[in-house]
Amino acid sequence: MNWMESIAISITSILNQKLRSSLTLLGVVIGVITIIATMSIIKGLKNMMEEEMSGLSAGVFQVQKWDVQIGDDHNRHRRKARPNIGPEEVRALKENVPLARVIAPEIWKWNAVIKYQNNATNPNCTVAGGVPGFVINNGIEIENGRELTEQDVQFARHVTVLGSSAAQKIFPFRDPVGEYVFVNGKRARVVGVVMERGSMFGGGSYGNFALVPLTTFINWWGSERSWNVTVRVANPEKIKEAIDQATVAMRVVRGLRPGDENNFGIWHSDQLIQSFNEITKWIRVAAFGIASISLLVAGIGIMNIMLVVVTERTREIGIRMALGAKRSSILGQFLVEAVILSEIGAVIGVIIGVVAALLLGKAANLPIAVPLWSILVGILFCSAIGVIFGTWPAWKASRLNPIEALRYE
Amino acid sequence: MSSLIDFKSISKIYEIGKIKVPALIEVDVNIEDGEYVAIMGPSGSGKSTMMNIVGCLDAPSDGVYKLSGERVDGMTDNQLADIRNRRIGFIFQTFNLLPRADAFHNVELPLIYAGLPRIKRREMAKEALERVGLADRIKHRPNELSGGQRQRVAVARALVNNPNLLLADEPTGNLDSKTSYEMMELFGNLHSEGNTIVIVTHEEDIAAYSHRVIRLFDGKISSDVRQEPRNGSNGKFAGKPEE
Ligand SMILES: Nc1ncnc2c1ncn2[C@@H]1O[C@H](COP(=O)(O)OP(=O)(O)OP(=O)(O)O)[C@@H](O)[C@H]1O
Ligand SMILES: [Mg+2]
Repeated sequence: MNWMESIAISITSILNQKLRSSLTLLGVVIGVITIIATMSIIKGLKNMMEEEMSGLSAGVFQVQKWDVQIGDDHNRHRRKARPNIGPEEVRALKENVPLARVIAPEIWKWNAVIKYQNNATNPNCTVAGGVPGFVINNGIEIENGRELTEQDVQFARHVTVLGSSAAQKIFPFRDPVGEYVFVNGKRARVVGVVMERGSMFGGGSYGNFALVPLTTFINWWGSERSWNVTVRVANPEKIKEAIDQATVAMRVVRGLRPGDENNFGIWHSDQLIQSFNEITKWIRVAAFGIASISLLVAGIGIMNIMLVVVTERTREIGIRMALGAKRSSILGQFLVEAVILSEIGAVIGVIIGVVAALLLGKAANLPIAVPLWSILVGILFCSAIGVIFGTWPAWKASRLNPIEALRYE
Repeated sequence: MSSLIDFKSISKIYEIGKIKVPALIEVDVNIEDGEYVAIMGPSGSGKSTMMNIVGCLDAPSDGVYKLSGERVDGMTDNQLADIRNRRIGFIFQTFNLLPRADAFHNVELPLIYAGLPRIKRREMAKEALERVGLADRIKHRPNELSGGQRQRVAVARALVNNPNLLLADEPTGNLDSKTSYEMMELFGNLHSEGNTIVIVTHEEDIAAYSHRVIRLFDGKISSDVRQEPRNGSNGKFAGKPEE
């Protein structure tokens, strides 16, 4: 017996029992919706993040003390032992990374306060010590005034560039450029203001923020902090090679032997995306968990319904056997029916899942993208469910004794 | 040459709990190719049991059944399915049509299991329905047909794959006498076309169409008589009645 026949028979028999079939399908539908909606939303978030990143940091990477870590940090103790990055490393990088166009060290300090007369920022202001190029390297722009200059750094001038929200907070009614403020108690002249970025990532770091020359930073707050080194490569396509060069330069200056682990971190936007995948992994696992449970329940439902179907159609099975149906034909017929049943659920689930994801995306203003593979996974999963849970009833049907099946009332 | 149907000491014993119900007791019978046989006997005498064994739907508890010289007991389920499909056409008292399928699809079923392509099936099923005079009822479902028409669909289904053995278990049991006679005429024609026919019946005037009457009583053959058929058929076995 061919497949077309089995499929035709199955569809007829499912349609004959619409209500019962649709109740059975509920679990399948929910499972597939869960997979598709979750994966679409995660993909949407990721797209948005990639969009944000591509503009600001193509061709830029950072050398710093720690590896990028979002979420839980289990290895904090072990990594305590790492040396700080300082002038030595910057010199090594400058000498040994020929692919780099800019090598810009930065020092960061958190929980500072900036004051102007009686106004003060929130006490969680970020202060960076930097060099010319800081602005472009960090993907920000100057709205008003100027950036740091070579002279600012060379002479350790007491100047600062303010983040937009810091500037607004302490200069609500006037232009800050040219005014003197206190950056964590140190008096500095405002030379520029960073443009506000209404972005989800990054914008926050440069809002309540102040930038001072690297040298000034060290004079004021000492040199025991580790530096971050931003490396901008001339050709963004060569970023991988540049990272390799930087890794070698760092290992040499640190005197690491082959086999020693890197005692510094290098990261760029790709790694941020990796970290994003790290966090969302658990969301995905949870979604698959929910989907699996509902598909399992659905599978049991399908098995149950198929057992009922087989019992109801015992006589039909007897007739088919009397007319020459082989056991394998009967098995195939009911297996196909179980798979089609769950596939109908899958298709409904895909449709509702995609619509739900798009609506959610509209509501939350996310660039939703439905990943094709999630649809495939949904559909394949459902086929598997149909086969796994349809086998026992179909096998039962195929083992019926023809004459007893014919006599069944 | 071996008989078409060869029963050697066939017994069938049903066990219901501890009680054993013997339905057939050491039955010996031979039916040759081209015979037209009626099986008679009181209710519960084992007629259906015998037919089911002949039709390879059921297996005997004991004895040897050879179909065209081949032992049936050694066959696999697939071989048995194949025999039911190609060599035997079974007609049931209760028609046993698929209720939700139309006449055409019901007749087409054996051809599907024979693995024939759609076009071929269409042709053969139509032809079989024409032979039983139902060319204009192809799209009707069983519940849209009269009893006689349903039975004719069942006959068309039994014929469609050109089996050489037609088995009918009380084919007229649910039909009025006029329709019954029409059915028997159809059987007569099929017999004259060379089919071997075995029918089970309670009615003497139905049995009268056959060339040989086997009577069962309590699971045993009580008589086996050849006779001159009433009319219609001019089959090969129109020999003298046996005493
Ligand atoms: N599946 C079964 N289980 C137990 N006993 C059975 C079964 N089928 C038949 N029998 C018994 O076997 C005997 C013969 O039954 P069978 O159906 O062959 O009779 P029959 O001659 O066809 O009768 P009828 O004319 O009423 O159809 C009966 O006594 C019946 O009770
Ligand atoms: Mg009977």
